[in-house]
Amino acid sequence: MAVESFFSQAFTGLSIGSILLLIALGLAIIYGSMGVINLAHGEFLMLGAYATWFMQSQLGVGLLGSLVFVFVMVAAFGWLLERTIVQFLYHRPLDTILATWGIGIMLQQGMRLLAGGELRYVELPGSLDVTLSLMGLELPLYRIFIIVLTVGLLAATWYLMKRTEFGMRLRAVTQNRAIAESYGINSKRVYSLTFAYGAGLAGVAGALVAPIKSVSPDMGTAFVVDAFMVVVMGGVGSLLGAVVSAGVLGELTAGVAYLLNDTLAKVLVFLTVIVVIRFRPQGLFPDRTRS
Amino acid sequence: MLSFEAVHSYYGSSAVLQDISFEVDEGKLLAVVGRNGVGKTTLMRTVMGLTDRARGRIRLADTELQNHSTYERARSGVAYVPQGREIIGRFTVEENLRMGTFARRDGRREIPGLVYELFPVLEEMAQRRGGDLSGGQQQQLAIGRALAMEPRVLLLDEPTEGIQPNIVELIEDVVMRLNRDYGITVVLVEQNVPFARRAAHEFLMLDNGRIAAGGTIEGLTDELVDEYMTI
Repeated sequence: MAVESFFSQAFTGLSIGSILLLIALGLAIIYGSMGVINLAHGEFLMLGAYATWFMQSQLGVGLLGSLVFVFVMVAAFGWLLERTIVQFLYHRPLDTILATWGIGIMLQQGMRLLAGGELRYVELPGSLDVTLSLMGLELPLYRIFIIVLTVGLLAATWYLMKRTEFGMRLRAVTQNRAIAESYGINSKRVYSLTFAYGAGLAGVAGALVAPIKSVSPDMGTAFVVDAFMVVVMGGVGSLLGAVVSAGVLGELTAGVAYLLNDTLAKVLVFLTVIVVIRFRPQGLFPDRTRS
Repeated sequence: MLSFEAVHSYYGSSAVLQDISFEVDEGKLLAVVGRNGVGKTTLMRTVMGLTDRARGRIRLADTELQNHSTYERARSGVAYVPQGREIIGRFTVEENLRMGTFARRDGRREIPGLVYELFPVLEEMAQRRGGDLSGGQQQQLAIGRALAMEPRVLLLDEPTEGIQPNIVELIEDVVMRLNRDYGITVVLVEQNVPFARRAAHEFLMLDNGRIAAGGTIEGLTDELVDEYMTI
Protein backbone atom coordinates (compact mmCIF):
# COMPACT_ATOMS: atom_id res chain seq x y z
CA MET A 1 0.00 0.00 0.00
CA ALA A 2 2.80 2.42 0.89
CA VAL A 3 4.52 1.60 -2.37
CA GLU A 4 1.32 2.10 -4.30
CA SER A 5 0.63 5.48 -2.78
CA PHE A 6 4.23 6.46 -3.46
CA PHE A 7 3.81 5.68 -7.15
CA SER A 8 0.42 7.29 -7.19
CA GLN A 9 1.90 10.52 -5.80
CA ALA A 10 4.84 10.30 -8.18
CA PHE A 11 2.35 10.12 -11.03
CA THR A 12 0.45 13.13 -9.72
CA GLY A 13 3.75 15.00 -9.48
CA LEU A 14 4.59 14.07 -13.05
CA SER A 15 1.22 15.32 -14.15
CA ILE A 16 1.60 18.63 -12.29
CA GLY A 17 5.13 18.95 -13.64
CA SER A 18 4.03 18.40 -17.22
CA ILE A 19 1.39 21.11 -16.93
CA LEU A 20 4.03 23.43 -15.44
CA LEU A 21 6.33 22.63 -18.32
CA LEU A 22 3.63 23.16 -20.88
CA ILE A 23 2.95 26.63 -19.49
CA ALA A 24 6.63 27.46 -19.05
CA LEU A 25 7.75 26.28 -22.49
CA GLY A 26 6.41 29.26 -24.43
CA LEU A 27 7.67 31.63 -21.78
CA ALA A 28 11.11 30.03 -21.80
CA ILE A 29 11.42 30.41 -25.56
CA ILE A 30 10.35 34.05 -25.61
CA TYR A 31 12.47 34.95 -22.57
CA GLY A 32 15.45 32.83 -23.56
CA SER A 33 15.75 33.94 -27.16
CA MET A 34 14.39 37.47 -27.15
CA GLY A 35 15.02 38.54 -23.56
CA VAL A 36 11.42 39.68 -23.25
CA ILE A 37 9.81 39.10 -19.88
CA ASN A 38 6.27 38.57 -21.05
CA LEU A 39 3.92 39.15 -18.14
CA ALA A 40 0.94 38.68 -20.48
CA HIS A 41 1.87 35.02 -20.90
CA GLY A 42 -0.79 33.97 -18.38
CA GLU A 43 -3.38 35.87 -20.41
CA PHE A 44 -2.37 34.02 -23.57
CA LEU A 45 -3.14 30.89 -21.61
CA MET A 46 -6.45 32.38 -20.52
CA LEU A 47 -7.30 33.21 -24.15
CA GLY A 48 -6.59 29.61 -25.10
CA ALA A 49 -8.86 28.35 -22.33
CA TYR A 50 -11.69 30.69 -23.37
CA ALA A 51 -11.28 29.80 -27.03
CA THR A 52 -11.70 26.14 -26.05
CA TRP A 53 -14.75 26.95 -23.95
CA PHE A 54 -16.26 28.98 -26.80
CA MET A 55 -15.67 26.23 -29.34
CA GLN A 56 -17.25 23.68 -27.04
CA SER A 57 -20.25 25.62 -25.71
CA GLN A 58 -21.12 27.65 -28.80
CA LEU A 59 -19.95 25.56 -31.73
CA GLY A 60 -20.04 22.10 -30.23
CA VAL A 61 -16.42 21.34 -31.11
CA GLY A 62 -14.70 19.18 -28.51
CA LEU A 63 -11.38 19.88 -26.81
CA LEU A 64 -9.33 17.64 -29.08
CA GLY A 65 -10.81 19.14 -32.21
CA SER A 66 -10.06 22.66 -30.96
CA LEU A 67 -6.37 22.26 -30.14
CA VAL A 68 -4.96 23.22 -33.54
CA PHE A 69 -7.40 26.09 -33.92
CA VAL A 70 -6.54 27.38 -30.43
CA PHE A 71 -2.81 27.23 -31.19
CA VAL A 72 -3.24 29.17 -34.43
CA MET A 73 -5.59 31.73 -32.91
CA VAL A 74 -3.45 32.56 -29.87
CA ALA A 75 -0.29 32.50 -32.02
CA ALA A 76 -1.88 35.01 -34.41
CA PHE A 77 -2.83 37.16 -31.46
CA GLY A 78 0.73 37.00 -30.10
CA TRP A 79 2.10 37.89 -33.52
CA LEU A 80 -0.16 40.95 -33.68
CA LEU A 81 0.91 42.05 -30.22
CA GLU A 82 4.59 41.68 -31.10
CA ARG A 83 4.17 43.66 -34.32
CA THR A 84 2.19 46.48 -32.73
CA ILE A 85 3.79 46.86 -29.28
CA VAL A 86 6.55 44.54 -28.14
CA GLN A 87 8.88 45.07 -31.14
CA PHE A 88 9.36 48.70 -30.17
CA LEU A 89 10.53 47.79 -26.68
CA TYR A 90 13.43 45.37 -27.25
CA HIS A 91 15.97 47.94 -26.11
CA ARG A 92 13.94 48.77 -23.01
CA PRO A 93 13.50 45.64 -20.87
CA LEU A 94 11.83 47.42 -17.95
CA ASP A 95 9.26 49.00 -20.24
CA THR A 96 8.55 45.60 -21.73
CA ILE A 97 7.64 44.25 -18.30
CA LEU A 98 5.33 47.17 -17.65
CA ALA A 99 3.77 47.07 -21.12
CA THR A 100 3.10 43.33 -21.12
CA TRP A 101 1.69 43.58 -17.61
CA GLY A 102 -0.67 46.32 -18.79
CA ILE A 103 -1.66 44.27 -21.82
CA GLY A 104 -2.39 41.37 -19.48
CA ILE A 105 -4.73 43.48 -17.36
CA MET A 106 -6.51 44.79 -20.44
CA LEU A 107 -6.98 41.27 -21.76
CA GLN A 108 -8.42 40.17 -18.42
CA GLN A 109 -10.89 43.05 -18.31
CA GLY A 110 -11.68 42.69 -21.99
CA MET A 111 -12.54 39.04 -21.48
CA ARG A 112 -14.63 39.91 -18.44
CA LEU A 113 -16.69 42.29 -20.59
CA LEU A 114 -16.89 39.87 -23.48
CA ALA A 115 -17.61 36.56 -21.77
CA GLY A 116 -18.72 37.63 -18.30
CA GLY A 117 -16.92 37.30 -15.01
CA GLU A 118 -18.41 33.98 -13.93
CA LEU A 119 -16.45 30.73 -13.99
CA ARG A 120 -16.74 28.68 -17.17
CA TYR A 121 -16.34 24.95 -17.46
CA VAL A 122 -14.90 22.89 -20.24
CA GLU A 123 -15.80 19.22 -20.41
CA LEU A 124 -13.25 16.49 -20.73
CA PRO A 125 -13.34 14.69 -24.06
CA GLY A 126 -15.53 11.61 -23.49
CA SER A 127 -12.90 9.23 -24.76
CA LEU A 128 -10.36 10.53 -22.23
CA ASP A 129 -12.73 10.74 -19.27
CA VAL A 130 -11.82 7.33 -17.91
CA THR A 131 -9.49 6.02 -15.26
CA LEU A 132 -7.02 3.29 -16.03
CA SER A 133 -6.18 0.70 -13.41
CA LEU A 134 -2.58 -0.28 -13.76
CA MET A 135 -0.79 -2.50 -11.22
CA GLY A 136 -3.09 -1.31 -8.47
CA LEU A 137 -2.78 2.35 -9.47
CA GLU A 138 -5.71 4.48 -10.56
CA LEU A 139 -4.50 6.67 -13.41
CA PRO A 140 -6.87 9.23 -14.98
CA LEU A 141 -6.41 8.89 -18.74
CA TYR A 142 -6.62 12.64 -19.28
CA ARG A 143 -3.56 13.16 -17.07
CA ILE A 144 -1.66 10.62 -19.13
CA PHE A 145 -2.82 12.43 -22.27
CA ILE A 146 -1.41 15.73 -20.95
CA ILE A 147 1.93 14.10 -20.14
CA VAL A 148 2.15 12.54 -23.60
CA LEU A 149 1.17 15.75 -25.36
CA THR A 150 3.70 17.74 -23.31
CA VAL A 151 6.45 15.34 -24.32
CA GLY A 152 5.31 15.67 -27.93
CA LEU A 153 5.31 19.47 -27.85
CA LEU A 154 8.69 19.48 -26.13
CA ALA A 155 10.12 17.25 -28.86
CA ALA A 156 8.58 19.42 -31.57
CA THR A 157 10.03 22.54 -29.96
CA TRP A 158 13.45 20.96 -29.62
CA TYR A 159 13.35 19.94 -33.27
CA LEU A 160 12.23 23.41 -34.34
CA MET A 161 15.04 25.09 -32.41
CA LYS A 162 17.90 22.72 -33.12
CA ARG A 163 17.17 21.06 -36.43
CA THR A 164 15.33 23.48 -38.68
CA GLU A 165 16.60 26.47 -40.58
CA PHE A 166 14.16 28.67 -38.71
CA GLY A 167 15.73 27.54 -35.43
CA MET A 168 19.19 28.27 -36.78
CA ARG A 169 18.09 31.75 -37.81
CA LEU A 170 16.65 32.33 -34.36
CA ARG A 171 19.82 31.12 -32.62
CA ALA A 172 21.95 33.32 -34.89
CA VAL A 173 19.82 36.39 -34.12
CA THR A 174 19.94 35.59 -30.39
CA GLN A 175 23.72 35.42 -30.39
CA ASN A 176 24.59 38.30 -32.71
CA ARG A 177 21.78 40.27 -34.24
CA ALA A 178 23.91 42.61 -36.38
CA ILE A 179 25.85 39.75 -37.95
CA ALA A 180 22.71 37.66 -38.47
CA GLU A 181 21.17 40.59 -40.34
CA SER A 182 24.38 41.01 -42.33
CA TYR A 183 23.93 37.47 -43.57
CA GLY A 184 20.42 37.92 -44.86
CA ILE A 185 18.39 37.05 -41.78
CA ASN A 186 15.33 39.23 -41.23
CA SER A 187 15.53 39.43 -37.45
CA LYS A 188 12.22 41.25 -37.04
CA ARG A 189 10.42 38.45 -38.80
CA VAL A 190 12.26 35.82 -36.76
CA TYR A 191 11.32 37.60 -33.54
CA SER A 192 7.64 38.00 -34.36
CA LEU A 193 7.32 34.36 -35.43
CA THR A 194 9.08 33.23 -32.26
CA PHE A 195 6.80 35.35 -30.13
CA ALA A 196 3.81 33.93 -31.99
CA TYR A 197 5.02 30.36 -31.42
CA GLY A 198 5.50 30.97 -27.69
CA ALA A 199 2.03 32.51 -27.48
CA GLY A 200 0.52 29.57 -29.37
CA LEU A 201 2.09 27.14 -26.90
CA ALA A 202 0.53 29.11 -24.03
CA GLY A 203 -2.81 28.87 -25.82
CA VAL A 204 -2.54 25.09 -26.06
CA ALA A 205 -1.60 24.95 -22.37
CA GLY A 206 -4.75 26.94 -21.65
CA ALA A 207 -6.87 24.54 -23.66
CA LEU A 208 -5.41 21.56 -21.80
CA VAL A 209 -5.83 22.96 -18.29
CA ALA A 210 -9.37 24.22 -19.03
CA PRO A 211 -11.12 20.94 -18.10
CA ILE A 212 -9.18 20.47 -14.85
CA LYS A 213 -9.21 24.05 -13.58
CA SER A 214 -12.07 26.46 -13.90
CA VAL A 215 -11.89 29.04 -16.64
CA SER A 216 -11.99 32.67 -15.51
CA PRO A 217 -10.57 35.98 -16.79
CA ASP A 218 -7.87 36.06 -14.11
CA MET A 219 -6.88 32.38 -14.26
CA GLY A 220 -3.56 33.24 -15.94
CA THR A 221 -2.09 35.12 -12.98
CA ALA A 222 -1.37 32.07 -10.85
CA PHE A 223 -0.01 30.12 -13.80
CA VAL A 224 2.40 32.79 -14.92
CA VAL A 225 4.02 32.87 -11.47
CA ASP A 226 4.56 29.11 -11.58
CA ALA A 227 5.90 29.32 -15.11
CA PHE A 228 8.39 32.01 -14.16
CA MET A 229 9.64 29.89 -11.28
CA VAL A 230 10.24 27.03 -13.70
CA VAL A 231 12.13 29.25 -16.16
CA VAL A 232 14.23 31.01 -13.53
CA MET A 233 15.14 27.84 -11.68
CA GLY A 234 15.91 25.94 -14.88
CA GLY A 235 18.18 28.58 -16.34
CA VAL A 236 17.25 31.09 -19.00
CA GLY A 237 17.31 29.72 -22.51
CA SER A 238 17.68 26.10 -21.50
CA LEU A 239 15.00 23.64 -22.59
CA LEU A 240 16.60 20.91 -20.47
CA GLY A 241 16.60 23.25 -17.47
CA ALA A 242 12.90 23.93 -17.92
CA VAL A 243 12.17 20.19 -18.10
CA VAL A 244 14.16 19.35 -14.98
CA SER A 245 12.88 22.23 -12.90
CA ALA A 246 9.26 21.59 -13.94
CA GLY A 247 9.76 17.96 -12.88
CA VAL A 248 11.32 18.88 -9.54
CA LEU A 249 8.68 21.47 -8.71
CA GLY A 250 5.86 19.15 -9.80
CA GLU A 251 7.07 16.23 -7.69
CA LEU A 252 7.77 18.50 -4.74
CA THR A 253 4.27 19.96 -4.90
CA ALA A 254 2.62 16.54 -5.13
CA GLY A 255 4.79 14.95 -2.44
CA VAL A 256 4.46 17.68 0.16
CA ALA A 257 0.77 18.16 -0.56
CA TYR A 258 0.24 14.44 0.13
CA LEU A 259 2.33 14.30 3.30
CA LEU A 260 1.30 17.70 4.72
CA ASN A 261 -0.98 20.05 2.78
CA ASP A 262 -1.29 22.23 -0.33
CA THR A 263 -0.37 25.51 1.32
CA LEU A 264 2.80 24.10 2.82
CA ALA A 265 3.66 22.57 -0.56
CA LYS A 266 3.47 26.01 -2.14
CA VAL A 267 5.67 27.48 0.60
CA LEU A 268 8.27 24.74 0.15
CA VAL A 269 8.27 25.19 -3.63
CA PHE A 270 8.98 28.90 -3.23
CA LEU A 271 11.65 28.12 -0.66
CA THR A 272 13.31 25.62 -3.00
CA VAL A 273 13.39 28.14 -5.84
CA ILE A 274 14.87 30.79 -3.56
CA VAL A 275 17.57 28.44 -2.29
CA VAL A 276 18.46 27.28 -5.81
CA ILE A 277 18.68 30.84 -7.08
CA ARG A 278 20.75 31.85 -4.04
CA PHE A 279 23.42 29.27 -4.83
CA ARG A 280 23.01 29.05 -8.60
CA PRO A 281 21.96 32.50 -9.79
CA GLN A 282 22.08 31.36 -13.41
CA GLY A 283 19.67 28.50 -12.70
CA LEU A 284 20.27 24.76 -12.79
CA PHE A 285 21.40 24.62 -16.42
CA PRO A 286 22.87 27.99 -17.38
CA ASP A 287 23.62 28.64 -21.01
CA ARG A 288 27.41 28.66 -21.02
CA THR A 289 29.21 30.68 -23.63
CA ARG A 290 32.71 31.78 -24.38
CA SER A 291 33.59 35.11 -25.93
CA MET B 1 29.73 48.36 -58.72
CA LEU B 2 29.59 50.06 -55.30
CA SER B 3 29.32 53.80 -54.90
CA PHE B 4 28.76 56.47 -52.25
CA GLU B 5 27.37 59.88 -53.11
CA ALA B 6 27.66 62.54 -50.41
CA VAL B 7 27.12 60.04 -47.62
CA HIS B 8 26.95 61.17 -44.00
CA SER B 9 26.67 58.54 -41.28
CA TYR B 10 25.75 59.00 -37.65
CA TYR B 11 26.01 57.35 -34.26
CA GLY B 12 23.48 59.15 -32.11
CA SER B 13 23.66 62.76 -33.23
CA SER B 14 27.36 62.85 -34.07
CA ALA B 15 28.31 62.51 -37.73
CA VAL B 16 31.12 59.95 -37.84
CA LEU B 17 31.36 60.12 -41.63
CA GLN B 18 30.88 63.38 -43.50
CA ASP B 19 30.34 63.91 -47.20
CA ILE B 20 31.90 60.68 -48.42
CA SER B 21 31.79 60.02 -52.17
CA PHE B 22 33.62 57.29 -54.06
CA GLU B 23 33.07 54.51 -56.55
CA VAL B 24 34.58 51.04 -56.89
CA ASP B 25 34.31 49.46 -60.33
CA GLU B 26 33.52 45.81 -60.79
CA GLY B 27 36.51 43.57 -60.20
CA LYS B 28 38.56 46.25 -58.47
CA LEU B 29 40.06 46.26 -55.00
CA LEU B 30 39.72 49.46 -53.00
CA ALA B 31 41.88 49.91 -49.91
CA VAL B 32 40.50 52.18 -47.19
CA VAL B 33 43.34 53.50 -45.05
CA GLY B 34 43.82 55.97 -42.23
CA ARG B 35 44.55 56.15 -38.51
CA ASN B 36 42.47 54.44 -35.88
CA GLY B 37 39.15 56.12 -35.21
CA VAL B 38 38.88 58.08 -38.46
CA GLY B 39 35.77 56.19 -39.61
CA LYS B 40 37.04 53.21 -41.63
CA THR B 41 34.91 50.66 -39.78
CA THR B 42 31.98 53.07 -39.79
CA LEU B 43 32.26 53.21 -43.57
CA MET B 44 31.85 49.42 -43.75
CA ARG B 45 28.96 49.45 -41.31
CA THR B 46 27.33 52.23 -43.29
CA VAL B 47 27.30 50.03 -46.39
CA MET B 48 25.46 47.37 -44.36
CA GLY B 49 23.12 49.86 -42.68
CA LEU B 50 24.47 49.12 -39.22
CA THR B 51 24.97 52.70 -38.08
CA ASP B 52 22.18 54.59 -36.33
CA ARG B 53 21.41 56.77 -39.32
CA ALA B 54 22.86 57.72 -42.69
CA ARG B 55 21.99 60.07 -45.51
CA GLY B 56 23.22 60.30 -49.07
CA ARG B 57 23.09 57.64 -51.78
CA ILE B 58 24.71 54.20 -51.52
CA ARG B 59 24.45 52.13 -54.65
CA LEU B 60 25.30 48.53 -55.46
CA ALA B 61 25.04 48.18 -59.24
CA ASP B 62 21.39 49.20 -59.81
CA THR B 63 20.19 48.85 -56.24
CA GLU B 64 19.82 51.90 -54.01
CA LEU B 65 21.02 50.33 -50.78
CA GLN B 66 20.12 53.24 -48.51
CA ASN B 67 16.44 52.41 -48.86
CA HIS B 68 16.89 48.82 -47.69
CA SER B 69 17.33 47.19 -44.33
CA THR B 70 20.49 45.30 -43.44
CA TYR B 71 19.27 41.82 -44.37
CA GLU B 72 18.06 43.05 -47.76
CA ARG B 73 21.43 44.69 -48.44
CA ALA B 74 23.12 41.38 -47.69
CA ARG B 75 20.76 39.57 -50.04
CA SER B 76 21.59 42.00 -52.83
CA GLY B 77 25.14 40.65 -52.74
CA VAL B 78 27.29 42.45 -50.15
CA ALA B 79 29.26 40.25 -47.76
CA TYR B 80 30.66 41.83 -44.62
CA VAL B 81 33.63 40.40 -42.73
CA PRO B 82 33.76 42.58 -39.63
CA GLN B 83 36.72 43.53 -37.53
CA GLY B 84 37.00 41.00 -34.71
CA ARG B 85 35.48 38.36 -37.02
CA GLU B 86 32.24 37.95 -35.07
CA ILE B 87 31.61 34.37 -35.95
CA ILE B 88 28.80 32.67 -34.04
CA GLY B 89 30.62 31.01 -31.15
CA ARG B 90 27.99 28.39 -30.39
CA PHE B 91 27.53 27.32 -34.01
CA THR B 92 29.78 24.68 -35.48
CA VAL B 93 32.12 25.70 -38.26
CA GLU B 94 29.76 24.12 -40.75
CA GLU B 95 26.74 25.93 -39.30
CA ASN B 96 28.60 29.24 -39.51
CA LEU B 97 29.30 28.55 -43.19
CA ARG B 98 25.72 27.46 -43.81
CA MET B 99 24.54 30.71 -42.24
CA GLY B 100 26.49 32.48 -45.00
CA THR B 101 24.31 30.79 -47.62
CA PHE B 102 21.16 32.39 -46.14
CA ALA B 103 22.01 35.56 -48.05
CA ARG B 104 22.51 33.82 -51.42
CA ARG B 105 20.54 35.30 -54.24
CA ASP B 106 19.68 31.90 -55.74
CA GLY B 107 18.33 30.56 -52.43
CA ARG B 108 20.56 27.48 -52.51
CA ARG B 109 22.06 26.13 -49.32
CA GLU B 110 25.21 24.26 -50.24
CA ILE B 111 28.59 25.61 -49.22
CA PRO B 112 30.66 26.40 -52.36
CA GLY B 113 33.65 24.11 -52.89
CA LEU B 114 35.86 27.19 -53.14
CA VAL B 115 35.55 27.78 -49.38
CA TYR B 116 37.17 24.47 -48.44
CA GLU B 117 39.63 24.76 -51.30
CA LEU B 118 40.94 28.09 -50.01
CA PHE B 119 40.71 27.10 -46.34
CA PRO B 120 41.20 23.32 -45.95
CA VAL B 121 41.32 23.72 -42.16
CA LEU B 122 37.60 24.57 -42.16
CA GLU B 123 36.75 21.18 -43.61
CA GLU B 124 38.87 19.40 -41.00
CA MET B 125 37.17 21.38 -38.24
CA ALA B 126 33.66 21.30 -39.70
CA GLN B 127 32.08 19.91 -36.53
CA ARG B 128 34.01 22.00 -34.00
CA ARG B 129 32.31 24.94 -32.37
CA GLY B 130 33.27 28.29 -33.84
CA GLY B 131 34.10 29.68 -30.41
CA ASP B 132 36.74 26.97 -29.89
CA LEU B 133 38.84 27.95 -32.93
CA SER B 134 42.02 30.02 -32.77
CA GLY B 135 42.00 33.62 -33.96
CA GLY B 136 43.52 32.74 -37.33
CA GLN B 137 41.06 29.91 -37.87
CA GLN B 138 38.17 32.17 -36.93
CA GLN B 139 39.33 34.71 -39.49
CA GLN B 140 39.37 32.03 -42.16
CA LEU B 141 35.90 31.02 -41.08
CA ALA B 142 34.67 34.61 -41.24
CA ILE B 143 35.96 34.97 -44.81
CA GLY B 144 34.60 31.52 -45.69
CA ARG B 145 31.19 32.50 -44.36
CA ALA B 146 31.24 35.59 -46.57
CA LEU B 147 32.20 33.53 -49.62
CA ALA B 148 29.40 31.06 -48.91
CA MET B 149 26.93 33.70 -50.04
CA GLU B 150 28.76 34.10 -53.38
CA PRO B 151 28.96 37.86 -52.97
CA ARG B 152 29.32 40.53 -55.61
CA VAL B 153 31.17 42.81 -53.21
CA LEU B 154 33.28 41.69 -50.28
CA LEU B 155 33.86 44.09 -47.37
CA LEU B 156 36.94 43.12 -45.34
CA ASP B 157 37.70 45.03 -42.16
CA GLU B 158 41.35 44.51 -41.14
CA PRO B 159 41.41 40.79 -41.96
CA THR B 160 44.96 40.29 -40.71
CA GLU B 161 44.71 42.22 -37.45
CA GLY B 162 45.76 40.18 -34.42
CA ILE B 163 46.49 37.02 -36.45
CA GLN B 164 49.61 34.86 -36.11
CA PRO B 165 52.17 35.64 -38.88
CA ASN B 166 51.94 32.36 -40.83
CA ILE B 167 48.18 32.82 -41.24
CA VAL B 168 48.57 36.47 -42.21
CA GLU B 169 50.38 35.39 -45.35
CA LEU B 170 47.64 32.89 -46.22
CA ILE B 171 44.91 35.46 -45.76
CA GLU B 172 46.70 38.10 -47.78
CA ASP B 173 47.17 35.56 -50.54
CA VAL B 174 43.48 34.58 -50.46
CA VAL B 175 42.33 38.21 -50.59
CA MET B 176 44.47 38.80 -53.69
CA ARG B 177 43.25 35.61 -55.38
CA LEU B 178 39.58 36.34 -54.68
CA ASN B 179 39.98 39.65 -56.41
CA ARG B 180 42.38 38.73 -59.22
CA ASP B 181 41.34 35.17 -60.04
CA TYR B 182 37.66 35.15 -59.07
CA GLY B 183 36.81 38.73 -59.98
CA ILE B 184 35.17 39.62 -56.68
CA THR B 185 35.02 43.35 -56.00
CA VAL B 186 36.68 44.04 -52.65
CA VAL B 187 36.67 46.93 -50.20
CA LEU B 188 39.55 46.36 -47.79
CA VAL B 189 40.18 48.31 -44.61
CA GLU B 190 43.88 47.94 -43.93
CA GLN B 191 46.53 49.47 -41.66
CA ASN B 192 49.33 47.54 -43.32
CA VAL B 193 50.44 49.91 -46.09
CA PRO B 194 52.77 47.50 -47.95
CA PHE B 195 49.95 44.97 -48.28
CA ALA B 196 47.48 47.69 -49.33
CA ARG B 197 49.92 48.79 -52.03
CA ARG B 198 50.34 45.25 -53.31
CA ALA B 199 46.68 44.33 -53.28
CA ALA B 200 44.74 47.45 -54.18
CA HIS B 201 43.94 49.17 -57.46
CA GLU B 202 42.64 52.24 -55.71
CA PHE B 203 42.75 53.77 -52.27
CA LEU B 204 40.77 56.05 -50.03
CA MET B 205 42.52 57.90 -47.20
CA LEU B 206 40.18 58.88 -44.40
CA ASP B 207 40.92 61.51 -41.81
CA ASN B 208 38.51 62.61 -39.13
CA GLY B 209 35.45 61.25 -40.93
CA ARG B 210 36.26 62.84 -44.29
CA ILE B 211 38.14 61.81 -47.40
CA ALA B 212 41.66 63.24 -47.19
CA ALA B 213 42.94 61.71 -50.42
CA GLY B 214 42.06 59.04 -52.95
CA GLY B 215 42.69 57.72 -56.44
CA THR B 216 44.78 54.98 -57.99
CA ILE B 217 47.05 53.15 -55.58
CA GLU B 218 50.21 54.75 -57.05
CA GLY B 219 48.98 57.96 -55.44
CA LEU B 220 49.37 56.46 -51.96
CA THR B 221 52.78 58.06 -51.49
CA ASP B 222 55.09 57.96 -48.47
CA GLU B 223 54.31 61.64 -47.93
CA LEU B 224 50.57 60.88 -47.66
CA VAL B 225 51.26 57.99 -45.31
CA ASP B 226 53.46 60.19 -43.15
CA GLU B 227 50.91 62.94 -43.04
CA TYR B 228 47.79 60.90 -42.33
CA MET B 229 48.89 57.60 -40.82
CA THR B 230 51.99 58.16 -38.75
CA ILE B 231 51.26 58.95 -35.15
